[in-house]
Amino acid sequence: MSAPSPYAGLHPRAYWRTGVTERAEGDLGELYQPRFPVTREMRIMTAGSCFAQHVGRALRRAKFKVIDTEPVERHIPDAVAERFGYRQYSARYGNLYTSRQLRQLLAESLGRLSPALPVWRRGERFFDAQRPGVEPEGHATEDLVLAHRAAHLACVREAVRQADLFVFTFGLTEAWVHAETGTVYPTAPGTIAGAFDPEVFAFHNFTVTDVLADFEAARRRLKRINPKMRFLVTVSPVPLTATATGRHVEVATCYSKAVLRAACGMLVDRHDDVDYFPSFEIITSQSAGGRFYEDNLRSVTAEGVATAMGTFLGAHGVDAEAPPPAPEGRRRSSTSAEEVACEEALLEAFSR
Amino acid sequence: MTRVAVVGDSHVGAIKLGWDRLAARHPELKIEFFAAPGSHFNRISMFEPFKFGLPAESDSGTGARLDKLNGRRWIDLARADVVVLVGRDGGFMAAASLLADHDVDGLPEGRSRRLSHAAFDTFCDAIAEQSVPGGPWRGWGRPRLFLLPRTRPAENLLRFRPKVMELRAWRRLARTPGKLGAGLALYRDRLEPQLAAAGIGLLDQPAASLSDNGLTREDMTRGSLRIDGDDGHSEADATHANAEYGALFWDTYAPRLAHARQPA
Repeated sequence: MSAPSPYAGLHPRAYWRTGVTERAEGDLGELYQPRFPVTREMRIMTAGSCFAQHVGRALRRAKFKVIDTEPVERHIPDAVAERFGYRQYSARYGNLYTSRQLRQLLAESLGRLSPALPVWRRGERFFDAQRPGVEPEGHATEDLVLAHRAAHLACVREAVRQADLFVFTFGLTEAWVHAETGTVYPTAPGTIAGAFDPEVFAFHNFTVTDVLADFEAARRRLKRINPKMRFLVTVSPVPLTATATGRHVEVATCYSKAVLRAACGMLVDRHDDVDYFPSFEIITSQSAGGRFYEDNLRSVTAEGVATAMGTFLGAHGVDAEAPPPAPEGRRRSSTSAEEVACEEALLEAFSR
Repeated sequence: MTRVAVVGDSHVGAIKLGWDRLAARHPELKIEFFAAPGSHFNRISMFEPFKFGLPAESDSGTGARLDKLNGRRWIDLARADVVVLVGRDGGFMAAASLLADHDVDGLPEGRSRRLSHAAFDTFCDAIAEQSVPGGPWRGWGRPRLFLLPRTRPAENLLRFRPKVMELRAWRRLARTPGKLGAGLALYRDRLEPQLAAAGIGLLDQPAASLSDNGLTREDMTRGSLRIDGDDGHSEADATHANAEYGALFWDTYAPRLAHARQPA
C-alpha cells in the first residue's frame, strides 16, 4: 500500500487556494508566525534601507523600547529632525542599504576598519561619505566631518551595547565600492556629493553568498558584545529606483529582492536567534493587487505600511493603529504616507 | 500718555510689583494689568477680537479667580496703545534643552553630543515657529504687541535639584556659561524675525538681571510673591522674578514702550 501524498492533510496555510485565494480581503491569515516573542521590555536597535524607518516608527508608536543614542529635543518636529538623520534609526547612520554596509559600520565603530575616502565634497562643502544625507548642506571643513563621524561611531557602539533585538531591513544588492579597498558607500559618488571616477570606484552587485557572509559576520560581532542578542530580518518591498547592471530595472529588482529574500531564508534556517518578518510578501502579495504602492508603483502607501506593521504587532499581541483611509477617488495614496529619507530615490533625478 | 496693557500668567506679578515702585517716575505711561495664574491662564483666550479672558457670563472657577485677581473677567486690549504679553517662555526652555544636550559647531563646547550649526539653526527655527503666539495675537498693527518671555531660571537652581526635567538642562548649561550665552543669543536671533513677521516685538530679559553664569541673578528672584496672594514662592522656586526685577524691567523698557504707540 502506497503512503498518501506528503501534501495531503497539510495546514490550510500550506495551500495557495486556502492560504491566499480564499482568504478574506484584508485578512493576512497566518502569514507571520513569530519564532520568538518581541516584547516591550526588549531594547530594540533598528537599521537598514529606507523601509526600515517605517519599522522603527511603528515600533516607537506602539511603545516598544526603540534605542536612540542620538536623540534630539522633543519639541523638534519629526519631519525637521529626520531631515538631519535624527529619529530614523538607533543612531544617526542613515540608511544601510546593504549587509556589507552594516558589516563595515560595525567594524568601523569598533576600530577594526577605516573606510577609504571618508569625506566627499560638493562645491565648498564637505560630506560624510558613509551617510551623506544626514547633513543636507554638509560641513564647512573636512575636520568637522571627521569629528562628527567619531562622535557618531561612539553612539553606534552605545546602541549595540544596549540592544537585545537587532532589526535589519535588507534593501539592495547593488552598490558602489572603492575599487582598491572594497569600502562600500550608501550612494554612488556624484549623487549627493563626491565625484564619480571609474578608476577609483566600481559597481558591485552582491550575491547571496556575499549577503549571507556579511550579515553573519555582523551577527558574530554583535553576539560577541551581547551573546543573548536576537535578530529580526526583513526585506524592503521598495523596488530599485535605478539599476547599474544594464538590465531592465524590473528584472534587476527581482534579482536583488530574490537574493535578499534567499539570504534571509538561509539565515533563519541556520540560526535559531534569527526570525524573518514577511513585510515584503505582505506588500507585494497578489492578494493586495498592487494597492499598497503609490502611483509611482514604487513607494509604499501608508495603508501598506500600516497593514504590514499591524500584522507584526498583532502577532506579538500588541494592538496597532488603524491604517489611515485612502483618499477618495484614488486607488493609490500618494499623500498620506509619511515621508522617509531615501538617498536612493535621488537616482530618479538622473533619469530625466 | 501711552496706555499699556500687561497681560499674562503668574509672571505678571513681578512686573506689577516693579510698577508699584516706579509708577510715579513714569507719568507718560498708564498701565493696566490682567493676569491669571498658570493653570487658569491656559483656560482663557481671545474669545472675541482683542477681548482677552473669559466672557462675563461664564461660570467657572477660572472666572472667579479672574474676578478676585483683576476685578473683571476680561480685558479689551483694543483700548491699549501697547500690549505686553508676559510669561510665555518663547521657546528658550526648548532651546536650552537642545543646547544642554549638544555641542554646537563653533560654540564653546561642553561634553555633549555634536550638533552641526546648520542643524542647530534649523531646530531653533522649528522651536521659534512653535513659540510665536497663535492666530488671534498676530498681525495687529495697533495696539503694538510685545512678548516678554519669562525670565531664565535663577541661580538658586544650583542649590536645589529641580523636579522639572527642563530646569535640569539649565543647571548643566550654567557650567558652561559661554555656551549658554552664545547659544541662546543665536536662538534669540532666530526667534525675533519670526515674531516680527507676526507683528510682535521681542523684549529681552534685561541684561543686568543675568549673572555671570547666564542664569537670572538670585537677588532678582529672592522673595518673589505669588500673584494670587501675599504668600511668597518657596525658597527653591527658580522661575518667578521679584519686584526688583520688575523695577529693572520698567527702567529698561519704559521709554521704548512710551514711544511704541507710534507706528513701527
